[in-house]
Amino acid sequence: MYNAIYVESEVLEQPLTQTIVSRFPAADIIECERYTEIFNRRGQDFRIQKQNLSLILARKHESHVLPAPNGYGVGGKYNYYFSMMLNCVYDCRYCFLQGMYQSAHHVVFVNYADFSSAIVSTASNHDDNEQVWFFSGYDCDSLAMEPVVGAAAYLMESVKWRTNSWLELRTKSTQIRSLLDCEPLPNVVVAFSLTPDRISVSLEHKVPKVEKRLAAMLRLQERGWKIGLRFDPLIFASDYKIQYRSLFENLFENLELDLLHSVSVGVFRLPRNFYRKIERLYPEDKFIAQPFVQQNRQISYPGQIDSEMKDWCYQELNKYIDQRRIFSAEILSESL
Amino acid sequence: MSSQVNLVVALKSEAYPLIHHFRLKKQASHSTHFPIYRNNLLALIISGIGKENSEKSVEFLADVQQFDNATAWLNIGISGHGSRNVGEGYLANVIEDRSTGKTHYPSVIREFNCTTGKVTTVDQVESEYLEDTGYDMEAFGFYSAAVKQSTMEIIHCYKVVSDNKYKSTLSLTRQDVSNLINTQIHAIEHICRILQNLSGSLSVRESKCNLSAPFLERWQFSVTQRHLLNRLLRKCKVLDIDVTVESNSVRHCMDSKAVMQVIGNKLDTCWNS
Repeated sequence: MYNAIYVESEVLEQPLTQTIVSRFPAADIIECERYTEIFNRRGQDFRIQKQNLSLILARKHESHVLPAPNGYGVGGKYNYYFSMMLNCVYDCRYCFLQGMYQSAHHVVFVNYADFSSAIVSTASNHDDNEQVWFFSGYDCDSLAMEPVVGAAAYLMESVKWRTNSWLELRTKSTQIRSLLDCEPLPNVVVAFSLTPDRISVSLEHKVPKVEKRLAAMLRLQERGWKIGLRFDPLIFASDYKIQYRSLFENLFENLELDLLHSVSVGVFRLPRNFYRKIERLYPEDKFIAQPFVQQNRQISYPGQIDSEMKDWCYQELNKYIDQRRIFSAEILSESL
Repeated sequence: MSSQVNLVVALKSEAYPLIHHFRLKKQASHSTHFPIYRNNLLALIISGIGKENSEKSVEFLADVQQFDNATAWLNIGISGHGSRNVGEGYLANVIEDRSTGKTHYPSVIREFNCTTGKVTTVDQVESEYLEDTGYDMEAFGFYSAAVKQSTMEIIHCYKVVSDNKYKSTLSLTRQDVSNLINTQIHAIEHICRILQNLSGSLSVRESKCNLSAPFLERWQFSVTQRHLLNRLLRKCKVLDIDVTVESNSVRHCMDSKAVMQVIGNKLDTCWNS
């Protein structure tokens, strides 16, 4: 999977580093001082790197937990996010990471204990009766690399005994073994991002099929885990109503609603400069070539399509789930 | 569109087998200091020894070529090594400048299917070979200059071990150097082919397809409008929307603004299909 593994000297001897490195015996192991010597340098090509992935093991020194943008959340008053990994094993054509980073290489910050301490200390700044949310999966997929990195399992220990702390693990993967192996935690939500099958096949390269993800969700629910559904981004197609209706039916007819924590919805959107970069990376791509419109430094579908899709989805979802459990995934424009 | 690979070598004796194998022809001289040889896909420049020469030769070659950040660069040469056997070829995955401690990390490309390792660029010929690294005198200068010209994934250094603690450079003849490069000529050819492919794909992406020319002949566009026009026409092409100057809705347009409006409207039809 990886051609090379770059390891910061500082973490070279860490047991976790050694464990991860041992999983890839064919990769070149290259020592470096700081991960930024390799990651996100100017003059790199995301698309070529995506075909020639390297792994970078590093230590994150600061900003382990950050406040989430205004408006982001699934019902909690206090929302934070953190990124123990950068970049993703999947290759979704709409993904903002392609526009945000010069590098496609995967970075894993192996100082999990520092993230854990930051979560605990942030939560302790809030009252015990408040809901403090910690979102993982903003700069990466929270579970796709779990068999190799074990980050989710570690994190869950951080929130296990804290009544005010909630953890969301956002994923498109089916790597749920570590969750099935432990007792379900009432304050952890495993949130699956979904698009209808046809859209997924054409835009979400390497992502497991919807049926497989549904099977993973069912297994998690059987074990007692809370599930989240994230229809973000909503992707337009002329027959989107047929496609999304079928997806919703499939999910809600099978999932246990009592263990469905929340649903969030957000129409496809990208910061303008990210979109321009992705246009240059994939000039031949039909999805990217669509005539999106720009509003508030973001590009998205024309207003009418945007609002019609959103309204229709909310209406459809309301048939299955109380609207108090449906949230907008779109952050407020002043946060951009 | 190009899929050019520039080869940079320090010595004539390193260059000869490459010139012969790739049938490169000497260019009418731009510089007596840096001879250049070419065929339609490769250019080779002889830099002379040392990182400064290597750096200058890259700048010189980039200067005489039409600049294109999709051009691949490959430094080929002999090196000493702390652990490898004489005759082994390898690609650099780390290039360190011993005098400054600065480091480059060339990308590791799977398709090269080639052994990789560290190269330390030294100012004097290495005679002790204490570290597990290659010792050369050009790689750092070459790479530092080349990353200013092209995308780093298509910049590489390929070294052939010529000396180690069991065989010093003292007995090395020019013929030995040529023979060493010759033994790895197929590996070098393979790397060049991959680099050409990568360069070609980058080049296609970067190319400014000139779809707008017929429009520019008929209407007057500002510079900003030209960029936008090109972008819109490229989108039309990708989305299979047919727009030409002779299209019904276009040919009656009075000015550039109206043309852009018509093309924009045509693009918007994609939301209905």
